[in-house]
Amino acid sequence: MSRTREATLEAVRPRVRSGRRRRGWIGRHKFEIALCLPLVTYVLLLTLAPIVDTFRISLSGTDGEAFPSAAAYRAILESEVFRTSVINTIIVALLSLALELVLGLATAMALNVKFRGRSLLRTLVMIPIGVPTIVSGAVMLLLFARAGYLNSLLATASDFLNRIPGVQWDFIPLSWTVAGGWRTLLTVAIADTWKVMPIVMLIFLAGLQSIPGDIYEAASVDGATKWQRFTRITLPMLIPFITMAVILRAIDAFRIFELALVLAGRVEPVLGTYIGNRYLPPTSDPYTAASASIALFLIILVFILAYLKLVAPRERGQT
Amino acid sequence: MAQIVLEDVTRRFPDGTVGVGNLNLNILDGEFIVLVGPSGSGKSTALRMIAGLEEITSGTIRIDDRVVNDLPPRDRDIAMVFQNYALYPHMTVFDNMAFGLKLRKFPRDEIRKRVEEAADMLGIQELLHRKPRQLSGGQRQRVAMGRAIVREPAAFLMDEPLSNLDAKLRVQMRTEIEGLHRRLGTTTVYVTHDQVEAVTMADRVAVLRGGVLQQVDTPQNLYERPDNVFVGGFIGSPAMNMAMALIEAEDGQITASFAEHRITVPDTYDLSAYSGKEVILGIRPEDFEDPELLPGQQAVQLLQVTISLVETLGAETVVYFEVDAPPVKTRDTIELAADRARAADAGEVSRQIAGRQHTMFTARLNPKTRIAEGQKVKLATDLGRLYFFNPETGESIR
Repeated sequence: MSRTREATLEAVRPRVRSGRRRRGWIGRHKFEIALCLPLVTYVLLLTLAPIVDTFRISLSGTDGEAFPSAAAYRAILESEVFRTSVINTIIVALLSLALELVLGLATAMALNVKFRGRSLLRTLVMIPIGVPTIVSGAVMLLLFARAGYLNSLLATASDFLNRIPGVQWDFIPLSWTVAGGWRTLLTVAIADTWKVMPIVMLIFLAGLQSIPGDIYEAASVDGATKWQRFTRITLPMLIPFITMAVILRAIDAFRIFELALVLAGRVEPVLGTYIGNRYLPPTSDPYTAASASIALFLIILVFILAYLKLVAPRERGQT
Repeated sequence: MAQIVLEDVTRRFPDGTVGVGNLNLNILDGEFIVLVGPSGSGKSTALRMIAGLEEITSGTIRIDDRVVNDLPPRDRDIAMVFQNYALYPHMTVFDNMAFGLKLRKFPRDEIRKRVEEAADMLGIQELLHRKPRQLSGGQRQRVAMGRAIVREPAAFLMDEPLSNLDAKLRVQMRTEIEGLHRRLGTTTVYVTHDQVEAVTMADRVAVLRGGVLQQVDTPQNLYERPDNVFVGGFIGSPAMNMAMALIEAEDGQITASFAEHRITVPDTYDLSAYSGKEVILGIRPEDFEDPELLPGQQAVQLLQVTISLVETLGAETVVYFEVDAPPVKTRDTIELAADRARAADAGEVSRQIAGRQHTMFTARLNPKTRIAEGQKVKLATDLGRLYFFNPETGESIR
């Protein structure tokens, strides 16, 4: 009798103890749990679940085939439009990334110099960030249209150049956005650059301000020219910031959608607009839209891994 | 190696203030010269003008008979050590030191040889592959020195290189820099706000104040024969005691009275023109002594004082006593007080001492003294080592 009771107690005690400990842990961390809950819910419901579901849909096959089916992937790989979209996306992304980095760095360096009205200029440069993407796309349409500012500028330039004996440049105005090929892609890249260069500039400005001024003085006493100070001090010191800018911007640049939609429409599809067109009526095909999304995801992943593989080791060696 | 000559060098900042005004300085070949002065004295500006980091508004700077006014720093054949070391954070110690040589396209072997030699000299051989952030303050300081040494420049310019080190390391590095200078014999211009550093290291010290050169001489001469009250009060630690003293001449005997004290001035001082007037009297703390411990026969005068504080330092005993006279309040002495209090605003110091009716005097005595706090004692003053200054001009009266 007593042995049974003891055994029962033995069996019960640890459970009671661990129960108390668990209550204790939850009790102790109520506040932290409450703070984490919105984030966890958000990530699970609105990020993780859609991603998993996109994977599932992409593998679901087009016409009710059995679940793990590569039919949707086969379909997009055979599609001429998809292949064009991939190439266009890569061209636009690399072009805008290059433009943003170069212009962003140049602007940051200019705004890092002390002069009168610098803070006003810094504020003005930030304006594009506040303009809705669709609106900036519409503005760009005005710029690149057949009767747009760019054409009128080029027309004036051609008039001017034609006055020089021996020069003959017959400028025929064209609508850049519907011209197709590099012209259309260039307009998208320029529009994207105009929109996000300020963010890149801000990152670089923060980077430049983290470089102590006296090492430039040390370098100039050591014998460095202005150009050598830029290549041997500024650039290497900025590598962590360049990495940050590249990663942040690359993700967005590959996903470009609104500007491409407004400016390039169906003339030059990019992956973003391709996916939209597959998903929305009249096509209404979630399967290929999902598989194309996965393809876009893989492209971004490959690009960033390649960048980290190529640049990050050097950065670790340098900071 | 080089001679550096500054002729009427002036630096006027864009806002109109004068950083350095009409500075004339002849720095000899191989000399170790220290520019010293309180903050805002223009010492760093002067150094940066020699380096080429600061524009010269007027005047000429010559390095070895070559006018360098319009030459960029890299063409002046000088090396500089900065206050914050200014090491390149993204380079190893080796690359930091090799940077200047690489830019000048030295052959690899030569670069390696020079860097290793300098590292050897400074005891930083094991650190060559580290990054600056992995080094201690003292090690960074050595790397900064090494970066200057490998260049084998005509002159070293050092801008408060020890001010970021703790007191113990500072004394050690001071000796090392002196040793390096003896060994390399390179002309060195060294800037500091610390007058102890200045007098211990320098062949000659240039005292600056408000952009104007006050006096340039050997440390000993500056100490013994200051040209004005500013130099007198600035050089020496603890600082010279000062009081307004009334000069009186009676029967050919000149006396100086301050508070209840009356000192008979030896006739080696030419005070005849000041009879009936007040001058600034200066007595260095080390020129007081406990009369019982006086080594021999010398001209002294005993002052009756009440000791307020005794500090036993082992090698010496520092005692403080109050003199019943308000502190000297000329422009010079207020600026000196502000510098000692590390106050940026001389006006505030001026307000602080405005109401004071007493002046605290300091005396450095032989440690064998038995003088204790609160005692009324007699202190001997060395009459051969009094200082007098004209309160209006601040100039020395000798």
